[in-house]
Amino acid sequence: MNTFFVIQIEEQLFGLAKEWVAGVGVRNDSKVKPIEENGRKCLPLAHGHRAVICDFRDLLGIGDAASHGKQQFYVILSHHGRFMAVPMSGRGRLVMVNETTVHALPSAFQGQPRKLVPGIVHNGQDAIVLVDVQALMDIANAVACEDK
Amino acid sequence: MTKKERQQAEVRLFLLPLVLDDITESVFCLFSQNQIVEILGQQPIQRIPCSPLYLQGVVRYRDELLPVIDIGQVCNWAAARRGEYKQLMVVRTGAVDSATGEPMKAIVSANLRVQTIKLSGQVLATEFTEAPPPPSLANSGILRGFFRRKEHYLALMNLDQITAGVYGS
Repeated sequence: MNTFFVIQIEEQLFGLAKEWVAGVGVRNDSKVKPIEENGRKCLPLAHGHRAVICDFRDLLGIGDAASHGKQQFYVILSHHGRFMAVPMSGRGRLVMVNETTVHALPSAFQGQPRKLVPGIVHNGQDAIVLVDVQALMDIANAVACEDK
Repeated sequence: MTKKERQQAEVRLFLLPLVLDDITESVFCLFSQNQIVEILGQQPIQRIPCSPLYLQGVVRYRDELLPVIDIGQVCNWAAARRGEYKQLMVVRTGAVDSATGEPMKAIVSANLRVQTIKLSGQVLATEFTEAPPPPSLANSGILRGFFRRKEHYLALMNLDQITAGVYGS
């Protein structure tokens, strides 16, 4: 069994390996304001760290400005000294997943989607799309570099 | 010919309306009865990040995860935005699953309601004439044939490459 931190974005659930979750922050918190650094939006963290803000909806190709306000929290991810803040709805929750119940993506999905999503797990009516945090950070970093 | 024989000689076809930028006449994507497994209503589609626009996501169908393909997006990049569909067509493709040897299935999203018609073999043989496809279809890489019947155009599509994950590679 593996433990995943499940977040909700636009009515859809995503599972992130628990060990990479550093914490949850409140969005629009007056004490922690996003800043722009090197052309990227970042969230200042303790000890001078910066978490690059990655809006997952951009990677999904969905959502609009009207739904932006629904995402009232950040999940802060940490991977080998890099930090990332992903806006989400709700505070998220921990879920235990049996590895044997994970379905791999269909063959139609190749390249980045396959690297990013190792599988999907169903829990009753809910489907949780598992996300590889390292791949997410690499892709978000590459997108930010392209934008510069 | 008896009524029963006439019915047996008829072929049931499924027509998926396509909205294309470069043709004003009605264009339908044609599927045979053998290709169609089931037509579903609205289902939750799980979006997959970083996937191309023509792959809308995945749907769980009979304990299998199937890709949802938007043919309009393959042919027409300016088509309706993601998430807008009325029906989902579960189709058998010609691609074969190397592990099971079974034909791979995919789901085609329909932005407009799918129509069904029954045609006799004679109509199929005489009323369909080959026509030059519009650039959006010709350049899609999945067009197998383009025909005119009366005031409509009918396109035959090959979804094998998309389903097998080798489209555009």
